[in-house]
Amino acid sequence: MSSLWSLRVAMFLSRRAIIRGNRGIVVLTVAMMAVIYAELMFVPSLIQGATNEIQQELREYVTSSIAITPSHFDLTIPGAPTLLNRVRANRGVVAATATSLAGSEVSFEGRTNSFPVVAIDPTSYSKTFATPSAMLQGSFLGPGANDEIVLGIGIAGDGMSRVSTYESSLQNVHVGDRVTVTLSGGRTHVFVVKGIYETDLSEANATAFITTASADRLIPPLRGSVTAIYVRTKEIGDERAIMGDLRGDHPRATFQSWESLSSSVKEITGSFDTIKSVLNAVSLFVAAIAVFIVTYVDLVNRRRTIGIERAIGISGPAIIVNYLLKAVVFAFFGVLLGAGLFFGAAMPLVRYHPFQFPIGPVTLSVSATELRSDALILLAVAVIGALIPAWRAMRIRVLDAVWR
Amino acid sequence: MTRRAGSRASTNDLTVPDGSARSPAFEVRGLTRTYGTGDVAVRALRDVSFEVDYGDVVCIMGKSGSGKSTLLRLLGLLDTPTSGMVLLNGIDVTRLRESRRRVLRLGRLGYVFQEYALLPELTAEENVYLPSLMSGCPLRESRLRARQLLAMLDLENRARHRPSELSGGQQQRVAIARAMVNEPAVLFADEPTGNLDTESSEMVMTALSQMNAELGVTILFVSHDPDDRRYAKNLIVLRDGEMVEDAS
Repeated sequence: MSSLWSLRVAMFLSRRAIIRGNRGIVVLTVAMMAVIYAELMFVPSLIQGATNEIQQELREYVTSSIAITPSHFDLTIPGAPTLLNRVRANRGVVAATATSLAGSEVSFEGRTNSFPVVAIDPTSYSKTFATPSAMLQGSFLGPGANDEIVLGIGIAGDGMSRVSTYESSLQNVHVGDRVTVTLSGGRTHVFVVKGIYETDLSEANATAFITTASADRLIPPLRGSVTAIYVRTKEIGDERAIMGDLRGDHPRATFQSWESLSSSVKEITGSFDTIKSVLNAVSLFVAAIAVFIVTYVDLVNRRRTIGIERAIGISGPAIIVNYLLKAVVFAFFGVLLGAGLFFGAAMPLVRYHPFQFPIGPVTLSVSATELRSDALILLAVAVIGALIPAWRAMRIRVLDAVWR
Repeated sequence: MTRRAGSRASTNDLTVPDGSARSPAFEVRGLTRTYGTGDVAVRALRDVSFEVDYGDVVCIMGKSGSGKSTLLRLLGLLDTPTSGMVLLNGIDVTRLRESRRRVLRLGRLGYVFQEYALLPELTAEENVYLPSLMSGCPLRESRLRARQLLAMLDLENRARHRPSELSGGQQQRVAIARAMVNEPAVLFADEPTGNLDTESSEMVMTALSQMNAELGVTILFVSHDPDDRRYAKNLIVLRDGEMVEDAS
């Protein structure tokens, strides 16, 4: 029961100290907690925003939601037309497109380099990927276009030395120029450049596209062969269920979600996660130190009061819990104010003026789970920050606290 | 009150029962307090022994540095003696663990400080009933008890005021009410009028007398004002840490 009385007295004292104590200290402490909470969320949410942007770019230009490729034993997907029909019939699928690798080398005015040349159906490709809407010059392939090619800026160069992959590109290819493509089987063919596209993801800019119609005409042995089927799902997160539906009937195809395909990006996002964790740890350490200092200064100023409380029989736990409760209340209102600042000011501001990263405009992104866990961690840190000085204050002799 | 020779007693039972008419309120045996060690050691109190009966009012007098406050702090369990003992119902309370001493301070012993020592963020009423809350009394009863005590001390209209809004005399009477709220057996007051003018001092000493007369609490108070002797039934005079007079 004595613990119950201690808790009751702690609540009694903390409530009155907060309401009737020094308003300036209360306001400043809450403001400090708010800033720490907003800061705790800001950098990680910026990193999360950048990660989301990279992942979206990947889905839009490289992997779509699901990529189906041949098994290790095959060069092409067996029974691809049937599989494509089954994929398109799935309720969770928005669009699907089949592609085949038609060439591996592009030359222009004496410069030659290896780039994948992919044969596509422009209509279904446009529904599955956003590449057709990323045209820098010219236009994307039309259905049935013959002898036309679309190049990524990483291949064409387009005279823009600002492009990071300019040195390895053909450097000066423009719309209307003629490039020579070495097709599968070794035959070469000249294509007119119909368009040049550019995405924010450099690895998506190094692919050349021709139509399936051109490929079928120029490489008859490959007619009907498919080296990959890309699937766009209605919702992110549905990939696993859809792959489960399809996998059973097509054991000789490999199904991979965009997440498992983004290994190169995982290194980047993994580094982001490390940075995020380090920054979180630093912020929480700062929060703990801040609460420690506030509580310590408060305790130093109240040394005699604490001595009096102990002299009249108030228990040590009641006095300690009183300080912990104050820290929790300050942290709680700090979290509320910090969340208000973050959602009311920082997020709208960044939404209208996004950060310009090399991967494109980045806005803030924070999940409810992260919001909750940050708040709980901050509360826990506040408790620890207050506990240490409060506990130490209890070790001072009553006599010293009251009279010295 | 009786002066005694110092002796030691062992304690096994930590329970401190209510006082009875026969036994003394407490006994002090050979109480000694030395601050520091070696060449710099200061013996603030030397082998002080006496008994105080229930309902007694004892004034402890002496010059500055004579050991008055040291004695009261030892009796109020705010300090620990170097040697000697304070017996409450035969139990040496000076050797108890701090947690047990705190319980005694909360329920059996009241203490009034010279500098009022009220909690600044609480009203007069809240200051009074805080120890009652700590002892587990429901809020309503605690508040009622606080109001009764404040009314006894003519402070009912100051109940909702914070200490900073009260005069020194009023603050000291609130401190007396706080010390009395858990109905202690003994009330210690360390120069309760030391910071007050004559009129306020009179009111505070009257309040202490009133507590003794109406509630039967045993009171030991420290004073350097010879006039305060008239409020006491017994007198202890200290000189250089030694008890030189016991005017029963």
